[in-house]
Amino acid sequence: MNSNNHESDNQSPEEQIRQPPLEGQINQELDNSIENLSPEVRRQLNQARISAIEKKSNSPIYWKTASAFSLVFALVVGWQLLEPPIPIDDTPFADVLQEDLEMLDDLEFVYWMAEEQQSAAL
Amino acid sequence: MYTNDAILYSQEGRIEGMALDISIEQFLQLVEKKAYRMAEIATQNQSDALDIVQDTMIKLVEKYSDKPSNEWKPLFYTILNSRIMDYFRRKKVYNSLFFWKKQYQDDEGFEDEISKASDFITPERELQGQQDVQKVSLALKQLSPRQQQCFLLRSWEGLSVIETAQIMKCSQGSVKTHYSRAKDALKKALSDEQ
Repeated sequence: MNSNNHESDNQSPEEQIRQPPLEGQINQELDNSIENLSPEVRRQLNQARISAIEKKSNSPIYWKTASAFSLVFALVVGWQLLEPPIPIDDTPFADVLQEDLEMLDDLEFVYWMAEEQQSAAL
Repeated sequence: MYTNDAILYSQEGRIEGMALDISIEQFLQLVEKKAYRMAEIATQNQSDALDIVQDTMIKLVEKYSDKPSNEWKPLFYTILNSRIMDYFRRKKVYNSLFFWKKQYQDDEGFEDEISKASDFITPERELQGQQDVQKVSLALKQLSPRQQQCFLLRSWEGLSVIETAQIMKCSQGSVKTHYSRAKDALKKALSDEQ
């Protein structure tokens, strides 16, 4: 490999400013070309930049909202899973029925007493 | 607020040293035109170049805007270079899948050259009337994609061999070889034009 071809490989910034004619000429022409970009290309570049910035500014809101919903959902599911199950009332049906009949008898007695009191008052 | 360095960039067309107090939007504003021209030279297509630059901007903003501003430039050009290489990979796959279209295009070579030429004569070039810009662009477009990227990053953007190697994901020796070959090819192409 010819070392003369790599003279500018590790050049300092000052040396870069004093570029060889070929590179200097090409750089100058490229600079001219970007200074004279068409208005349509400029507009599209502007739009691309704005949309890139907007995506960034919008993204945290979506992430925060999504994170909040995920957290709430996880807490609800976790609470449901960790909550002890409701104990099943395993009182025999006959006992329940017996209690209910006694209560009905008491109610009939109370009702009878009230009627008696009303008729005595009349 | 633009810093002195940023102003230096806008006046001279290159970043000599990026200051720390620059926003991501200002940085993109500074590099977008160069990035577009690099992508346009590589792809030889305006809309593809714009897509590549937009993708690069989005990726930089989404992934690296929290990084210090002096790291943005190498990151930006790394993404840009990666997007350009992706473009060529997709194009290669497309051409191998739809090879008959390529054949058809070759048959229509004359019309293809006309369409290329009409695409090349853009309003800004008509207005400025600079033949030299066209010559340089044509000469750059004749280089291989790697040589183009290497030359543009090293010479136009003023990046070091190490930075260019990191961006292009290759060795410093490869960068030197690409740069040397690019210079030789450009010298030959431009001297032939004259």
